[in-house]
Parts: sequence; structure tokens; C-alpha cells
Amino acid sequence: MDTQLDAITTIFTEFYYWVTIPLMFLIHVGFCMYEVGASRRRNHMHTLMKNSMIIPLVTITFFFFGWWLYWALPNGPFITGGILWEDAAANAANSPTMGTNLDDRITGVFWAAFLLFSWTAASIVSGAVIERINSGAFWVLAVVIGSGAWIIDASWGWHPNGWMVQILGYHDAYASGVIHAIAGGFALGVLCVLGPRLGKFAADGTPRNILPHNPWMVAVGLFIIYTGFWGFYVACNIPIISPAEIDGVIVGTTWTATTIYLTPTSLSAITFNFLMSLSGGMLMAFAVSKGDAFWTYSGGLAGIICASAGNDLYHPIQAMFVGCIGAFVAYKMHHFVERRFKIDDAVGAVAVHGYAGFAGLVIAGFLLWGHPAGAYEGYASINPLGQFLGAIIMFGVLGFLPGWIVAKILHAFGLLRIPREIEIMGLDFQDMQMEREAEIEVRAAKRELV
Amino acid sequence: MSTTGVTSWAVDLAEVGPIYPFQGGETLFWVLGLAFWIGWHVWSIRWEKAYQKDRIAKYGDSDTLKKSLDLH
Repeated sequence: MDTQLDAITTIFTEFYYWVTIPLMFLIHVGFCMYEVGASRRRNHMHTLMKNSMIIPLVTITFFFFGWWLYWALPNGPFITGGILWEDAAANAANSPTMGTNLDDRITGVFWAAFLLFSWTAASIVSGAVIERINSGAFWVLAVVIGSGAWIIDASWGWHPNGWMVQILGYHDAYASGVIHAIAGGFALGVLCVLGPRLGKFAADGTPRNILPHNPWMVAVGLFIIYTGFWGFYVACNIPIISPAEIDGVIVGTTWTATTIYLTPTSLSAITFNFLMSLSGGMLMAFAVSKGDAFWTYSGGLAGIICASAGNDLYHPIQAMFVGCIGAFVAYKMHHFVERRFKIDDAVGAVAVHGYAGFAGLVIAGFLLWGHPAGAYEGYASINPLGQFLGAIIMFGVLGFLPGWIVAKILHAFGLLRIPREIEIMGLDFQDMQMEREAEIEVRAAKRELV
Repeated sequence: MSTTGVTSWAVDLAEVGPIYPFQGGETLFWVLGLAFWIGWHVWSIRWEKAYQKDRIAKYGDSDTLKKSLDLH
């Protein structure tokens, strides 16, 4: 930072990403409220702690190895080259740049912006498995998705030089697949092994409603997730960069905001499209669910998630219609999979994140067909086949498979699911009993005063 | 002598890099961190098993379980 322009650009970029971090923190607050509200009273404190402990566990493991994976693996499994040891070295946990260093002022802020995505990936899975998973098992799964699977997929498909971008023309500007489809797929893999909550399905297989203990809390939680989502969108952009610094095919001297792929977009575009896709999702979800509050709010999320792959480029009215499709797909697929395969996804996470994210990737392949996927010579253009293969990789290969395999291993060791007696009495039974006994004692004391 | 390597700020900042204490020990810190993380998982899984065993011993009989369904 030896010139004023250099200093201003550095400090602006630092501050830009830094502001996204507390905003994205709200996503986790929202997920906790939503998940606790959706659980029954007898489970809510355990549900809260299960999700809250994602924060420290994913943070430290993302520091220990997650961040390194992002920089080391853009070539995939030796598809466009090998492991990028040199690029990754500065982002290893034992690098001097991963600490207080006057020669590097941005790594920690950039690391944290990615880290908050990691929490989100794990938190999406958390809601689906409530009320019957062992917390210890969930925390292992949270590290696998939060500091492993998702950051590998980001390295492959959410990096300016990721092999999926170069070869498939994969485009996923605001993470329809990179965060949402993978987390939905991962949750589905775990749910297949974990099984439904006791009493969820009747003997003939008909699903029963297990209602949230606090629908108002669920609604506020989802509102807070919407708020945090703004930070997520902004964090996905590079705020300002010159063509010279991109060092690709762009000519001239006009500075621009870009996506993670270093392809130009603007804050204006994503502001239009975020709100229009949210609106499309809410309108469709309200209509298809006949005014159900839970699905209307979730539909708003599904709308944004579905449009996110191309929200750097869509026209706002296109974003609105893509949002409509996302909400429709999420609602219909959730109920179809629940009835047909007896999958008990307690909060609809697989549908809202997984199916809507998958659909969004495929739709972007058609709507953005032929647009350059990267800013460099020789990279593939966006195309339907590349996006479809990308969706399979995100949802299936890096999502469903690791979730299913790790859940199977945990199940084999008897660690995955809570004992039947605990599930019947509720995870918080003892605490609630103590609370009840204390209340009875206080009431008895009061009675003596009357 | 300073644990951070900085003994005075009478320097050109362009020549200053890391300023955290005990530079050179990063790999050791990393190994200790990994051990702490894995140890925490092992502890939490064992603790949860013991916690559940205790709850089942206290409340796991058929009568209490049946009553529990109407209590909360």
C-alpha cells in the first residue's frame, strides 16, 4: 500500500468483504431460529446447540484445512492439472499470511467471507435431521460438508480457473449449486440412512404432519435468513477490479465489479434480481401452497436459490419467473419425495436448497447459453449440458454421496441416531422435568401465602 | 527481545511482515490445533453416549416413557 489509490482500493475491498460477514452471520441466526421453531418443545434446546456448535467446529477446521483445499484443487481430480501447491501454500494454516501480518491485510477477511458460506452449508443440513440425530454424529457431518465437500466444489466450480468453469462452462454466480444443491444433496444422503422421526409415517406409509412448536419463530427465522442473504450475494462479487488485474481477454481501462469468475456484473443487477426472484418465489409458493406461511417464506428462499446461478446476468423479470419455478419445484418435489420414498425432511431443506438449486443450474444453462463462463481465452461458454453435468456433480457426487457414505459409517458404529427411548421422551426431557418440578415447588410456596 | 519480533515502531512498515508472537512455530500450533479438534469430537461423542445412558436409566422405563408423551 505505497500509493493512495492502492491504499483506498485495498481498504475499500477489505471493508466491503468485512461488512458482508456480520450480515451473513444473520443467516446462521435465522437458521437457528427456524430450526428451533420447527422442532417440538421437548427437543428445542438440543436442536439449538446442535446447530450452534457448527460455528466453532467449522471455523477451526476451515482454518486448519478447508481454506487450503479451495486454493489447491481448482484442477479437480487431475483434469486440468495437478494440485496447486504453490497457490495454496499462502493459504495453509501454517502460513505467515494466516495471522497478524502487515504485509497481507485481506486474507483473513476473504477467509471469513468463505467461512460464513461453510456455516450455511452445514446449517442447511442441520434443519433436515432434527429430533433424531446424535449431535456428535451431526458435528462430524457438519465438518465434512462445511470444511470439505462444499469447499472442494467451490474450488472446482466457483473459482476463476476451476476445471468445471474451463471445460464444462459451469456458471453459478451466487451458488445455486455450489452451496445449495450440494447441501440439499448431502442432507438427502444423510436422511436416507437416518430414517424418519418416530410417528412420521402411518403404517400404510401416509405422512403425518409434525407441526412446529412455534410457527412465528420459524417465520422470523426465515425473514432473518433473507436479510443475511444480502451479505451472501454481495460477498460473492469482487467489488472493483481493473481489466489489467483480471489479466484476461477484457480490453480497455474500465474498472468493474465482477463475479467470482472475474466476469463483469454490477451491484445494481444483483439488487434487482435478488428482490425479483424472492418475489417470484413468494408469489408462486403462496399460490401453490394455498397461503401456507411456512411454504410461502420457504418459497421466497427457493426463488432466490433457483435464480442465483444466473442472477449476475438475468433481466429482473426473468429472475422473477425463474424464482417462480424454484418455489414450484421445491414444493412439489418435497411432497412427492416424502410420499414416494418416505423421506422425512423436517424443514424442507432438501427441497428448498437441493431441488431448487439443481433446477436453477439447469435453467441457467438454457437462459445464458453461449455467454462466456470465464474471462480467459479458451474457456467453454455456458451451455445446458455443462450446467446439467454441473448440477449432477454438485447435488450427487459432492453432495449426496459423501453424506450417504459418512452417515453409513456413523450408523455402522451405532453413532448416528439417538436411542429410541430418548426420541420418545424428547432430548430435553430431564431439563423440562426439572423446570416443571421447580415450578410446582414455587407454586406450592405461593399457595401458602394466599 | 520481543516475542513478536518487533521491539520498536521506528521502522519502515513496508519491511514489516508477521507480528504475532513465536513466529516459526506455526506448524506446531497447527498440529496442536488438529489434536484439540479431533480430541473434542471423541470427547463429545463419548459424553453424549454417557448422557443418554444416564437419561435412559432414570426415565427409560415403559411407564415414564408413556407419561412423558403427555407431559411436554
